Amino acid sequence: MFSKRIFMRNNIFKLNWGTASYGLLLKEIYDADIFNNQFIQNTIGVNAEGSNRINFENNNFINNGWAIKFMGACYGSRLVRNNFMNNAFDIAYTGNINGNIFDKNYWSEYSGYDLDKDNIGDVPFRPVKLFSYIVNQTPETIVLLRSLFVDIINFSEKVSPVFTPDNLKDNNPLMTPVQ
Amino acid sequence: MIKILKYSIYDLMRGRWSYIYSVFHLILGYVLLFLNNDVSKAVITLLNIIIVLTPLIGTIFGVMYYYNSRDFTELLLAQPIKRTTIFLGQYFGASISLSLSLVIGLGIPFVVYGLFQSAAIFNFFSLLLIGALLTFIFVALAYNIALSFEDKIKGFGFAILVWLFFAIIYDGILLIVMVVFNDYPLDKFALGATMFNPIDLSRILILLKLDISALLGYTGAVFQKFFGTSLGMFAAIGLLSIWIIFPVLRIAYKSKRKDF
Repeated sequence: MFSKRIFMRNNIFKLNWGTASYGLLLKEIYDADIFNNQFIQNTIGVNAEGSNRINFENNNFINNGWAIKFMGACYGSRLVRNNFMNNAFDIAYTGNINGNIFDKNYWSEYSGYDLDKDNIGDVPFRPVKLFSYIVNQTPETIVLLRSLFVDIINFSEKVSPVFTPDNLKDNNPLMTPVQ
Repeated sequence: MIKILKYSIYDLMRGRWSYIYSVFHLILGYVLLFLNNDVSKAVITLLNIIIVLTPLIGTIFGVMYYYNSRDFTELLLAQPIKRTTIFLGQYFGASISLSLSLVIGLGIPFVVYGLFQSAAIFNFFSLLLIGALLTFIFVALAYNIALSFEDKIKGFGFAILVWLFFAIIYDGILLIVMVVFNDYPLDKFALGATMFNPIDLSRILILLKLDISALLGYTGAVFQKFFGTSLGMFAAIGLLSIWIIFPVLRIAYKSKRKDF
């Protein structure tokens, strides 16, 4: 909390599994570099609030409930070359895009194709599902988790985004995980 | 009634559909376990399938069985047998054979892949129990519908609509209500609303047993507090039983008054 220029490298945040548990809680953190960390099986991998210009690179987010939760007032963060695998929700987001950048990450839920075989998917990936957006607005709707209706609205939102921020997307999603 | 029940079970066993249904589950179970080899993960995947498919198949099968065995029913009605006996016998025959197909079809692959050594055994059995309860509930609803509509097409249409309502539309309405009344405390409401839909209730019951329940957060804690106690568990099973008892009573009531 309330710190500047922190480097977090090669840490393992693991098994923080409970209703009020976090892997990493960032509040009022500026200009931090978070490189090469493992976030495995946390309810919330990273919870970021009021944190600006944070670089996430080469991190693994595996089997988390939420991989990263941006709670608001987060400006200019960069998420590049991270692996997001089998998370219930990859990103939860409130408000506008605020200059945050998602680029060249691997998303296990990505279902696009790669025609020119350059290992970069040809269709942008939108990490915020409609259900994750709704849960952010009204936390109680989480009781509908894994219901068929939720799958249907997620799918229709994926086909034509209406509610989720339009430019919150990864334009160059990777086809294979980052080593 | 036991005799009618026996006959309708034999009849269904001779027919193709219960075999196809159990072979479908058999293949499903094997494929799931082949793909991820981990029994407890396969149980989670199975959850979605059980919750959507068992009610659907129960509904369609119940309606189909009633309309197809109409001639036989009319023959039985000419005999000195009580009407409730005939219809309840057929209803229990259909639901028991469907539940058996489910339990055998899913049971075999999981037992072969070492269910008994796995920690997921309790979850798996509660999944099967809930699947069987859902089958009983939706066959009963389908029988009610089929008894109320002479016309096959109308009956089918209405039965599918009922399934659609419980599986999808109800959740949609719930979601809209929760989003609209965002400013009010909704935990008790969410708890109450899931009680009135057997599919939602079964989904929550299974979710609470899995790791993923931590995602449910504060609302989940309210649910856990309620269903975690033995009273809550009995209440849930009791509610699912009420979903069986009332439709069955209505079958008995309706069949006594129906004109053939």
